Formats: sequence, structure tokens, C-alpha cells
Amino acid sequence: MSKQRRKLTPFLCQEMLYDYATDRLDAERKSAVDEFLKQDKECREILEGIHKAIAYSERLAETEVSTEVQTHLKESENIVSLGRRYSSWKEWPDVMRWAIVCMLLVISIAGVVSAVPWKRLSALRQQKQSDTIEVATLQGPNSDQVFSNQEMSEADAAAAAVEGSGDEEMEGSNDGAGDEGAEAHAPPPPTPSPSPAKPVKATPTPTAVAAVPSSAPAPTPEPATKKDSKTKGFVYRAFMNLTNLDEIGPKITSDIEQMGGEKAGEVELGWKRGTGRYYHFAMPESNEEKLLERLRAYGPVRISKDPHPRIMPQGQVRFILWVESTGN
Amino acid sequence: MITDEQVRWIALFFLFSFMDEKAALMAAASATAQFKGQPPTPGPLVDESARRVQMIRVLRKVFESNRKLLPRNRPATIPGSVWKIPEGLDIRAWSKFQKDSSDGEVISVVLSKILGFTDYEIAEGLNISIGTARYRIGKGMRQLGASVRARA
Repeated sequence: MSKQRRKLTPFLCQEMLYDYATDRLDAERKSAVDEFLKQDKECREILEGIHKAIAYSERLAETEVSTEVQTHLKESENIVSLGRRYSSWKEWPDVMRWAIVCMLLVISIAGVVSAVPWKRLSALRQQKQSDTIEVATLQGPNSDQVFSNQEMSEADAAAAAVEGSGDEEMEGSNDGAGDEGAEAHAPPPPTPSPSPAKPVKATPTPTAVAAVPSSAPAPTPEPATKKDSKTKGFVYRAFMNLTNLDEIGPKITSDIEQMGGEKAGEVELGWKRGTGRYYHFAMPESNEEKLLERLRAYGPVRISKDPHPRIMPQGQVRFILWVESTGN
Repeated sequence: MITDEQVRWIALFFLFSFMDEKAALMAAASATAQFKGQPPTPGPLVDESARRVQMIRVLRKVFESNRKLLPRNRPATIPGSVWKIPEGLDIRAWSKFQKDSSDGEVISVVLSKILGFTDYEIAEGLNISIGTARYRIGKGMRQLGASVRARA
């Protein structure tokens, strides 16, 4: 059986001419088109036109676009292209990147600066400095016995280990000095109650006789003026260390009474507490120096003048004397 | 990123498709911006071919949105400052072809014969079958041939 070949029509041949011209037809189709082209003039003209069109288009492909147009087009942007362009950090302009880095740095520093409690820090620093302010040193009859503030602070702290509540003077003293811990340099407060002694926080703020610190609860000591001491009242706080307290103690009581001193609290003069004796008394101001001279005869006396809310009558002064026994 | 070659393709596509300087440059700018905004999409094609298909899609989209704004029978208005036609080439043959042929045939011929895209890329980019693409190109070339022969 022989297969009969289908004859090409002009339409089919024209449709295949482009593929024929570009050599995309298989051999059988190509030979069929070849045969048909020999017979059909119109198809030959179309094929010629296709060849010319291919050559024409190849030349058109050499067309150049001006540089200005290309530059203009290359810089064309829309929202999407801009968004994509700047979505990558590396694509950002250097100036903008550095500006953002600097801005973030400044914001960070500002945040840290605003977060740090500078006022509290400066207050703490001042409080630390005020813990050991040397206001004055007192010298006893023996020239080699000079007490520094530090020694006074230690002694006061030891004396403050005795807490009392029976003596109204102690209560008043604490009130007057405030609750900030600066008042704990007071002499030991005796108490007639049998309750066990509790340690009191002692933060020394020694004050010389001539200087009276402010009674305000602020932690920073302020040098007081004479006016302050007159208007706010004061109390002398004295401290002694004696070896033979049992012998000298009654003499001190006697001396105080001779100088016109009278007990100011609830306990008697020379009230015994632990290893020490407590004297809380009021006396004429005129005998103040004489009494101190007599006390210095027994041993070194450390004395401070502290502000106190209680104002004594004109010509009267108030003392709180703690004598600690250092002997066996 | 967009290369100089890609910018040239975009410019030539719209210049030959529209044969109108103002409309062509406006559409080319829009297409360039859109193409720059498109990240390369992963696919079975190699990167370069996939990028060319992406470009054809952008060109078709911009062409369709701008073509309707142009009147059909208008004189070609592309000055020599915009492009440089090879010396001795009569652009009127192309103008006649561009006016007489359908849009599908014109852009198929431009993409295939002037810009050099493959039939497969054209079919993918125009979202048509490869047979349709070849048919449009063949028909377009016959018409272009007729125009060229008429001008010869």
C-alpha cells in the first residue's frame, strides 16, 4: 500500500513560509513547500518579502537609543521600585545611614542619662562625705590626750548601745535630732525599765561646742549659727572614760550638785547602767566652765553641743554626761 | 537593579510599538520603574531567561494600559534625538506595518526580531501558547515583508 501525499494549498503554503524561511520545517514539509513554490508566484513573492523583512528587522535591531533617554529611563522610579531599593540597609545613602546611627546613639545616651537618678546619687555621695566630718577636737588636761572625731564616734556608738526609754531627755533628744541616724552620737541613754538593751544605729555627726548642726532631718550637716542655737535650744553631751569609776562616780555627782546642778530626767545623777554611769542634769550657765574643769581633773572629757527642741530658761544649760568604766 | 541593555530593550520596545515619542517614553519610564520594583522570581527557567520573561510581562502590561490612549492612525513622531536609526533604513516600512497589523503581531515581531527574545520566552511572557507566538510572528513578518517590498 502506498501512502498518498496531501497536496499543499496556497493558504497552507503561505502559513508555512516563515518557518520555511527560518528553516524550521521538517524535510518532508520543506520539499513540499519547495515544490509548491515552483508553481505559485504569489508564494514566491511572499517568501521574498519575508526574507526582506528578516533583513530589515535585523537592521532595525541595530537602532540605538540616545544616552539621555537611557539615563532618564534608568532613573525612573515608582513607589514599588523605591520601596524595594530602600528595603535593603546597604542600598541606603551613606549620609542617611550615618545620620540614623548617630540619632540612635544620641537617643541611647539620652535614655541612659534620663534613667540614672542623678539627684539620688549626689545625695548619697554627700551623705557618704558627711559620715566623717571632723568639726573639732577637744583636749583634756593632759596635753597628749587629744581625741579625734573618729574616736568620739566610736565611743558614742558604744555608748549608744545602751538604749533607754524612761528618761524623757533621751526621747526628746532623739526627736530633736531627727530620725535620719545622725542623732545617734548622743551619749548612752539609760532606762529604768528592765527591758534588755538594744543596739542603736550610730552614725556619727560630731559637733563642736561652738557649732550646732541643723536640726533638720536632711543628711547633710549644716554649720549652725549662734542664732540657730538660741532659737532652737541645745544640750551638751559629754563623754568620759575612767578607770576607777566606782570611786570617782560619787565625786562627780557631788561636783555637779555643788555647781548647782539638778537632775533633769527621771533617773538620779550617776545612775548605773552596765559598766557606766549616766548624768542628766541642768545647771547655771555660769558654772559650766568650772564643772568642766573639775571633770577634766578626773580624765579627758569629750563634749559636744547638740541642737534640741527643748529650750532651757535663760542662764540654764542642760548636760547629758556618760561616764564609761574602762577598768577591770 | 536594571542593566543598560534592559533599559535599551524597554525603550526600543515602546518606540517601535507606539511609534510616538511622548507616549513611548512615558510608557518606557513606567515599565522601567515597574521592572526595577520586581524581584527576580524563582522558576524552572535559568535566571537570565526568567528575568527576560519578567520583562516581557511588564512590557505587555504597560503596553496594554497605554495603547488605548493612542489613536490608531497618527503619523509617526519620533525625532532623531531620541533614537538613531541605522543609516539608509526606511522607517516608513515599519510605520506602515505598525499601523496595519494587530497589536499582538507588532509586539511579537518586536520582541522576536528586534529584541531577540526566544519564541518560548515570548509565549511565557505574553501568556500564550508557543504555537500562537510563532503564528503571530510569521504573520507579522509576512506583513512586514509586504511593507518593505512596497517601499523598495
